[in-house]
Amino acid sequence: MIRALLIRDLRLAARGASGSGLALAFMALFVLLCGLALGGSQPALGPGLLWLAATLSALLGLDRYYQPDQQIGALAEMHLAGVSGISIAVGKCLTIALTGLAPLIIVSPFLALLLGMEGPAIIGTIISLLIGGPAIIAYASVTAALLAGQRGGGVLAVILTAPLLIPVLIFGTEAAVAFPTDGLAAVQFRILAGLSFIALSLGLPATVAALAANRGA
Amino acid sequence: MILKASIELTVDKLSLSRGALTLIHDLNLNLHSGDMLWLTGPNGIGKTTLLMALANLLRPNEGTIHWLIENRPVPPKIALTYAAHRGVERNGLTLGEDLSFWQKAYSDDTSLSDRLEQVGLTGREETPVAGLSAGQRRRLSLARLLSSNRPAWLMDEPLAGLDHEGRKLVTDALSTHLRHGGLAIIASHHPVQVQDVEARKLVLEPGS
Repeated sequence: MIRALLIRDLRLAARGASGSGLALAFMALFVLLCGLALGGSQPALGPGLLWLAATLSALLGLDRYYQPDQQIGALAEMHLAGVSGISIAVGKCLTIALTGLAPLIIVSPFLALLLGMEGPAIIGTIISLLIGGPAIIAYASVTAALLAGQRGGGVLAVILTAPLLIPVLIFGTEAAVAFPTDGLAAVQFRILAGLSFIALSLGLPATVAALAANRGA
Repeated sequence: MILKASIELTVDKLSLSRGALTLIHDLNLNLHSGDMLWLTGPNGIGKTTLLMALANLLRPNEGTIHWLIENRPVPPKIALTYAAHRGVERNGLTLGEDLSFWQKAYSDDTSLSDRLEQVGLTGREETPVAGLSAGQRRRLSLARLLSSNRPAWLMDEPLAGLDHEGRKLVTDALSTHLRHGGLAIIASHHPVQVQDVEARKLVLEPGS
């Protein structure tokens, strides 16, 4: 069932007004403006800026995941059809990973070059984004599910999710910075992975609960 | 088509409200296999609210709703399917993609083309949902009802926007469904005439 949900979401993402494109444009613009404001290339600040850019961009357009299905009653009918909440949550998290976060991670090396970052730092940033990604996805999923019943709520989503993402942002950046010297053995990577596991184990049940609350039962 | 298990709905002293407004007060209802209930009344009186409460998509203020299959209480989602006035198809998918998703959700083993044929949409698999007319959306909604294989059908305005042939499709499907032991609750402004079935009528009125 998760496969059917994912295929449906990927088709919708591919054909609908592209939220992924907007998030990509926002991320590129953010990094470009940071470069301008900070006066030229800032390799030392690179990992932090890329993490910030990726996190904020991933939180943009959260209303495209659960909200349309909530508003037309498709989530309620999925429940009546016997599709479990956890299947829906996992399906949507995979959608967020593939259409929301993956494009941002793919462009980040090019943006890193704009900031004047070098090979090891770029690789470290990408690896840390991959390891911290599940945390971003899980919290994004909870917020998106909570706001599915609201119209708008885009900025509210960022405000609600940002505090949860602060530890992820701190250790994500730290891990990326530590990579050129310590490699994957850096303790920050283990902490980051731990944060991702915590986020998934809290985020998936919380998403299911939020979907049930939206249903009014 | 095999005979469906006997189904029963018991509603006891049900009260529903929207905000501070009480819509339904002290409603008692008992329906069995083969019964059809026609819900009618002016706009905003609570027909859809009642359907949603029966589908357990809304918590009643007071009273109980029980669905029974073979005299045993079952969760509502096993007993029923609910076709809302606005269908759940998504613009961006084709008709075939959308319906086959719901067939998978309902574990329906009838083929997509057979379902489409049943509702007069043969060969429309590739039509984008965004390009469907109101009547075609109703037919798609009927296809989902058929795919659900649930013994109770809750339908909100099932005939709106349908041509003569479309209305006949719906009433024929209802007739077959009821004859095989199903149950139907229909909210509609116009009577739904089903062959050989005497619909029970429930008129919701202000202050009733």
